[in-house]
Amino acid sequence: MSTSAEWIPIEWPASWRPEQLGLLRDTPFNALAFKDPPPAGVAEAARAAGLNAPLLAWKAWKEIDWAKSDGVIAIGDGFWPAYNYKGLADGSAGPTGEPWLDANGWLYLYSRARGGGRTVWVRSEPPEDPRTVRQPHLHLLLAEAFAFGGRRPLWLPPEFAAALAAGNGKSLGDWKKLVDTARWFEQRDAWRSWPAVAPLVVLSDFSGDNEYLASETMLLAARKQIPFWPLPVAQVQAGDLTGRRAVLYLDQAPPTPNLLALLKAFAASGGLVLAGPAAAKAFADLKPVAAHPHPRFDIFTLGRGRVALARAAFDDAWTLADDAHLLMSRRYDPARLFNGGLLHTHTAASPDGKRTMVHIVNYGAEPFFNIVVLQVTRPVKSARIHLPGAAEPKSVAIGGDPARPEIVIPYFSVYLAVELEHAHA
Amino acid sequence: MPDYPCQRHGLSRRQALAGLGSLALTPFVTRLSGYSPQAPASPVSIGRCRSYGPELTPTLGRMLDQLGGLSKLVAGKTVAVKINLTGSPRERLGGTPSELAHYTHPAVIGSTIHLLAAAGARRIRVLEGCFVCADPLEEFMIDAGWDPSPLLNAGPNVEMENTNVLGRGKRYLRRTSPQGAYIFPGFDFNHAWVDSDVVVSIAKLKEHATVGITLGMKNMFGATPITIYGDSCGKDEPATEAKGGRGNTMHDGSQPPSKSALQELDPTTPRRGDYRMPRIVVDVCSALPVHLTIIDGISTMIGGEGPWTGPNSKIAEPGILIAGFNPVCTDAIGTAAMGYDPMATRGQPPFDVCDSFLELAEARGLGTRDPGRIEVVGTPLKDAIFAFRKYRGGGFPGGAS
Repeated sequence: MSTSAEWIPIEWPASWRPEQLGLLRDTPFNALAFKDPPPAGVAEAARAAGLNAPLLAWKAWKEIDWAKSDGVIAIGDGFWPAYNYKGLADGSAGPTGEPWLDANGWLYLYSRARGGGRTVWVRSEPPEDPRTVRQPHLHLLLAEAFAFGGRRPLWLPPEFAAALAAGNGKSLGDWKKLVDTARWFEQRDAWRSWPAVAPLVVLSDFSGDNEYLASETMLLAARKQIPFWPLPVAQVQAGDLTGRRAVLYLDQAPPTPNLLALLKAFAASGGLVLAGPAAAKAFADLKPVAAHPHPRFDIFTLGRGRVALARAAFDDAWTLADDAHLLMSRRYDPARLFNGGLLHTHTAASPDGKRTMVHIVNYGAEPFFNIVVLQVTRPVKSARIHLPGAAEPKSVAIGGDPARPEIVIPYFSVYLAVELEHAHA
Repeated sequence: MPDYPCQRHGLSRRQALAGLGSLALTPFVTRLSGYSPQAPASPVSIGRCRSYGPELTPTLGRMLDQLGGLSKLVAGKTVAVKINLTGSPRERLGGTPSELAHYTHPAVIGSTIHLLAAAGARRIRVLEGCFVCADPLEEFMIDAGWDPSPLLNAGPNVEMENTNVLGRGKRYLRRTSPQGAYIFPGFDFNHAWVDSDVVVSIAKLKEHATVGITLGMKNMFGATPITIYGDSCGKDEPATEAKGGRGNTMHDGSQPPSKSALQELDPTTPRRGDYRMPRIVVDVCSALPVHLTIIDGISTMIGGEGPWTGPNSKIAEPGILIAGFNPVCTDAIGTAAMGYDPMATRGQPPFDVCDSFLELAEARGLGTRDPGRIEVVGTPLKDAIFAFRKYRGGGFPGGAS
């Protein structure tokens, strides 16, 4: 019996009966996920067929008890990943000026950080009208989760599931493509655990009064493609801050003495610590930076680094995320896309630090027509493109300034990864 | 002394105009409605420069020397340098870096800083009202894929500021137009514009989908803070956050600027960009005089001011720099170098569907647009012409015609 980390889930369509288990034969899907209790006999038949069929209690991410959960942690209130045309049309597209994407990247990062290596699945309700779901959207479900190191049960639209059960030829063809995509991702499963290249740490207990601000800050930081890593205060160790450029301490309570010592050491070695007014006393007696005033932060020097203390309690997550990014500087962003439109990136580093993988997810789920250029902020020896369906990566030309190499991204519909080899770790 | 400076180069006035290329030029003498014989004339230098490499700084330095040098203008002074970073830093024309298309190239900015510093400028401020945001200019550049460090180190006392917001100032400062105004009698600016001694406009040699062309004068439009003149400006006082473009308040006049600022002279005038924008450009340049214009025409885009301006847009390499102390004269020669007649009026290229800000500026007495009155030094105009519209085909930028 495999461990839950090896389970590759598909959400069991309501219309399927045990005889449809045959569709999963010779596919990577080895676990069933049920939103509701399954019809009689399905779970038993699945187990008899060697599949895993855990009966999970899907919870809102805020209700997850990270300390007690075992087995699969089932988050049931993710987003359906897509470009939210509705948000744009009704004026609710928000403050970012960016295309309003319903995206789960932050939630995958958060669940990885909180889960500490445990298996986390994320699902969401499908669109109100499932008939609007096209095949590329289904590939996007898998791709988004993979890109951000998470896992999501594949959901099938009812009509599609019914057509598969009926043996419809075209649907079976589409199913094969989905299976191939899932298999392609699973063959590269090790990439999921590559650590994020995230110069900014979002530090919080992510609970109680801090929960809303923390989640909004992560959500909006992700939307602005600010590369961050969430870190629970209870888990933080000095090594977690190695290589980071800034720490945003979000909580209303002042840092504990141990945490304060870590933060001071981080700043003294050249980092930037951002904190709210509650932390001001803890950072008393620092020397103000002799620069023009920031509208919302008092900034001090500490050793080779800085401490930025907000004058008022944090209340606007978007402004806060932006302030943190700008005070840290965008120069530490590992990657940026030009003409990126509906594309989002997530950059991760190989364990030996010699390679980085820039995962690019197309939330438009259809080919784009701009010339998209990826710029990275670290010298590169070689670059290769990984595309689902292609067994081998393809080398691509590197242009631009050697200090900020650029790669032209070929057209793709849902997912592509750029693997970069660096001269040094 | 010849009547017209071009005659010093052995060209008659007619020959100079003939040098505008193969465009069929309509007789300009019938279009002098805004002609102001008193509008000052000032020499303009053209430099052939094929790349942003080592030839750039010597070329630009030689051009400025041909104009009489910078020392008298900038020695001991604080100099404000307006660059042109229009549009989102992440948007490119195809895959071409912005600096080769619609942004003034950092090498031109750096060379200018170097030459200003060498001429004795005490402090140099690189300024821009960055696209719909209050981000520090340095960070905006990084987002565009640039490294601002070489610019900050291209001379002593170099600083940068996004003039959409207060920045290092405590309040916005007002400048009014002494020559009178078309739309706005004055503007409230970020402090860096008003408490500088000298204003330099470093523009890109480009066409423009609202005002036909965008050179040194149109570049200054971006000096107006969007907290006061933007779509999300404060109603009574300047907004504290910078969001949105200037479409409502400036282009179509559907919304007034913050009440704290001077309001329009006549709210009954047409609410159209083709009427308002040429006039507002002149008003801005009248309130905030430009002392030196440098136009980057080494590599640029044609067909509009940014990647968003239509399918005819593409990259071109005219391979020229243009500089002058009078912004109208410099823009007039820039217009001519683009293969257009600077004496054109509304209905004639490049002002097919808009009023000519050159004509309006000349009428306001800011400078002459008549190439026959402008001495061109350095590369002869006829050798510098790169006919934009002939090269790309099509009519008015952005598809309007």
